[in-house]
Amino acid sequence: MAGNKVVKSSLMRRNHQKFLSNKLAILGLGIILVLVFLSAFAPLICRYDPVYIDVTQRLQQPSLDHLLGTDNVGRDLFARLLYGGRVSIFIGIVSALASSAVGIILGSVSGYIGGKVDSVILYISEIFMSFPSMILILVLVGFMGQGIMNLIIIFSLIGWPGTHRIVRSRILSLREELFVESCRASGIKGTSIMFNHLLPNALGPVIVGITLSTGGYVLAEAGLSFLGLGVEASVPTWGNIINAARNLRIMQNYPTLWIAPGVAISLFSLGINFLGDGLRDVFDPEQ
Amino acid sequence: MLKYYGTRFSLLIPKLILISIIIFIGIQLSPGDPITSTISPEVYAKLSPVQLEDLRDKLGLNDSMVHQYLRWFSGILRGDFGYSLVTGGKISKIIANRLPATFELALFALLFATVFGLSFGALSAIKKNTVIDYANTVFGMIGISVPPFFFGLFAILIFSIHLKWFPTGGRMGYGDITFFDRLKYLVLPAFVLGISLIATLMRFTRGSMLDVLSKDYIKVARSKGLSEPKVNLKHGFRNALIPIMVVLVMRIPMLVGGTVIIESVFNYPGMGSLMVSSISGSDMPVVMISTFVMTSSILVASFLVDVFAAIIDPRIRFGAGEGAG
Repeated sequence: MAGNKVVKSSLMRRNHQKFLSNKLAILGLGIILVLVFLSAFAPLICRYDPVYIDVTQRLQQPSLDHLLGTDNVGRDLFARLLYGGRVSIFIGIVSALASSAVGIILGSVSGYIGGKVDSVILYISEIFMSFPSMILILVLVGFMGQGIMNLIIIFSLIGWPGTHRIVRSRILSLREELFVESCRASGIKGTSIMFNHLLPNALGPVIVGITLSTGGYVLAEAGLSFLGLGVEASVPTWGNIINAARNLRIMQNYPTLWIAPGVAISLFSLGINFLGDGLRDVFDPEQ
Repeated sequence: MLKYYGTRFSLLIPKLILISIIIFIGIQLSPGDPITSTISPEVYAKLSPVQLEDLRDKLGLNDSMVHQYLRWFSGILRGDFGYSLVTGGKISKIIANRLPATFELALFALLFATVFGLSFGALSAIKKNTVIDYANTVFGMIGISVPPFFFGLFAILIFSIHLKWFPTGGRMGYGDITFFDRLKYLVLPAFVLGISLIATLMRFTRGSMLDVLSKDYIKVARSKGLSEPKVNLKHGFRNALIPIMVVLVMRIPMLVGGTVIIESVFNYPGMGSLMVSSISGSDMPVVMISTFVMTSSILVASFLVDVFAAIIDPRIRFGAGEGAG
């Protein structure tokens, strides 16, 4: 038992060192932490209300008073950016966790039980994947309507096939191993074997998947809100801020209004991709 | 060879039927009584309940679901897609106007993406760990991270507003009849639509190419004294192409999905902008039919790319033929 622990901790230490030596991954993590920190502590950082309309202050250029200027109804852009980050990042993280949870459960069932159940789930996931996800999302928005909660539900309904594949193939390759046999022989229940003994082996790729899909959902939310079909326009999100600035005159004369939120989205997504790639290298035993 | 195409094709049919069933259920689940949105509110107010029931019968809205589905599907096969709830126009007509535009856009994006993605990716692999390679890697990272609409807005600001090289949007102006007149409207949206695919293909091509270049037969080719371009292109690139084709097929749905946003950015009158305006107007039949048309086009396009892959690589068709038989 003791020997086991030593091996585990040295593997962890090696992974830890592998991660720390990947400069891009550290940079990615740094970017994400900064953006999350800024959004989380928005009320302490910025004294403006992101939805307060002050027509006398409309379309101010950036100044010490309004760090990034104000939009066409006089709302402070910096405040909107910080509070918008809260909603956008929240949607990204919760959707990634929820869709992966669905994928993990279906993948474990698929891989462990196999047979007909597996074929049915696999066929459903194939049908899901033959629709372009953006279009499927739009159709569901058409049915369910806009809103933060609805977006999260829609993303979770659509996003599971990726995780499902990863978990399924991992469990499929492990379920005939001796340790599973011995689990069965000692009378451990199927669900326990599935989730306690098999699933942890798929954790690495799943964590990479959750990381990368967080970025994907932030992009998806931004795209939908940009089209006016995501979160209600009254709630500041990074996509909604750009959507509010969609007009040739503003685009040309007040570029901060759309470039600032665009940069925020791009930075977050870049950070996620760096981090995800780094984590993939860490969990990849071949590296 | 024919057997391979036959199996691929027969896999297509059940999928199409299943998707059509999903679409039909979607139309049925659309909120609101279909009849209230088929006729104008004024007419609806004037009709008595009996007359409404008559109309319902006439439109076949009281038949069983299976019956309705079969009639609907046979209509689809004959090109009858029903009517838009908002404009009252034939959906087939609306789509006939929009589909060629999106087809053009997606095809050009695919062309841009394949040409740039493959060549830059191969270049990166050949010039591994040089400035060119790093520059490509950075571009690749940006290409998959920056949202496409942000690229689009930038492209409009720089190339349309400041440089005035291309129009800010639309598909054609007055008097622009031929394809070459329209080309200037197509360049920016097609390129922006292709960016993320360029980035993805570049990464995969680089990886696949590096993989192939480390193989023994490349060493053999070199030691035979073949010229470097010949080794890289004929022996390296051609073999690296196969896994890339798989990625390309998998990415076609994403490309078509991307048209939704790009068409909105550039006011391009295609299927994507039709989807967006129909969802905003709660015109669910148009939404569902557009989804059906786009999804089936993707299935067919993926099939064609598969066929193309089999043509360039005999291993695919023979391998798959054995597997299927």
